Amino acid sequence: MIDREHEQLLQLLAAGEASPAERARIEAWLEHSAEGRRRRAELEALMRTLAGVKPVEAPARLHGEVMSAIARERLDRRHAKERRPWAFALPVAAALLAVAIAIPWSRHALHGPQSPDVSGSLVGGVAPIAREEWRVEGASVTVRAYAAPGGARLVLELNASQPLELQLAPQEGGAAVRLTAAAAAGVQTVAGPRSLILRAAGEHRAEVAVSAPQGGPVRIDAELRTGLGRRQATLLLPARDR
Amino acid sequence: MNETEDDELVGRVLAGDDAAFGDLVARYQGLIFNLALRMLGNAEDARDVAQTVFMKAWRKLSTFDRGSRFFSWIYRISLNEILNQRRARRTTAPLDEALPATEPGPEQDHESTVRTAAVQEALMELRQADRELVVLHHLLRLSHREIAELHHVPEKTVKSRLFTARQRLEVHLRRRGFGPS
Repeated sequence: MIDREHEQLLQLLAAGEASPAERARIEAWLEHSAEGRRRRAELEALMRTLAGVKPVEAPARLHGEVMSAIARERLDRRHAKERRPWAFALPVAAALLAVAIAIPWSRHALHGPQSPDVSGSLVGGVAPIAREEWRVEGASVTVRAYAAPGGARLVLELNASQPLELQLAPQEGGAAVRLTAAAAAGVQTVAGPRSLILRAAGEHRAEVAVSAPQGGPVRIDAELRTGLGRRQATLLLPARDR
Repeated sequence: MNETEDDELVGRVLAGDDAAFGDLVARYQGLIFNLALRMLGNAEDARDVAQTVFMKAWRKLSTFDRGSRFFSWIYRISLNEILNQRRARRTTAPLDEALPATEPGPEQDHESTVRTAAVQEALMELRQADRELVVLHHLLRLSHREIAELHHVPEKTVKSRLFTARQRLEVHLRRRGFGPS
């Protein structure tokens, strides 16, 4: 049995990392220890095995992918900056538009023949009841949720430099909640029993109807994936007005 | 790695020169890819990690303390991303999927491939801290001093931890037929 101190020195010797003093000490000890000499051979074999593992070349496309992603992000930032001078006007315009539409809508909702269906729906008029933006390497999705009879309507703006896949699924407890995609050019949709998948590349707009007959808050799990990454998020739609 | 050149490149990137960041990527992509490959055992995951690391480094470069080493900084980002990737994946890919990352060259004979696969499997059996030390020292060829600087511990501590890590690795390699039976 070799003690820890000699074992440590033997490792250093085998790895070629022993100082001259350490080397002299362990070699003097080795002259009288057959077990030590056997162990030295074992450790030298271990070091040879490790030294035999050569570094691997980084994938040739890695550098280009990084630089392309940087260029895209710079461009996005520049566009965002260019849009900024107008940004202040957008909330004002949106508010005016909301008022212009909400007044006749509320009159219709209160007095019209179809009012029971609508008055029992989610909160709000034209202004979104929820808004989220999800980003992942190579893609972003902006989702706005609007109240609709019997549930909500999701308007999705997909912006993808890489093919993206967006999976939407109501959380547990939302068994009665159903998601249905409206037709959207350039967006492939796959409806499963509990989820809806949208696939696209480039810039597209898609709509999804959310049917929520029970009227409580609805939580929809979203997973956004591209070849470069994935992101999980949850979209919360508030309960209907009571 | 030359720290002065790194600092010069960082300065140029901060001034808006993206090509200088390309030079930093070229300098460090091999190290970071190999670190991720050996820590994760999967070439595709390693590529994802390396790409994310460089994007994060580019986005956060303004927060980098230029009094410290660029490599230490990007190494920390890399380790965090490697841990995130491991958490996300949970399971380890089978080795035939994991390796090789590139076509074997003429110098990579069958014996070398088998040896590399056995070392990779044995590495994956180690605790993360042990694996990190073995990878840094034996596969990425960082000195004890460089590792001590990265981990902010004395060189003596690195040697002692490496001693234990190698002993554990040896046990796992023996199980795979490497070393004395």
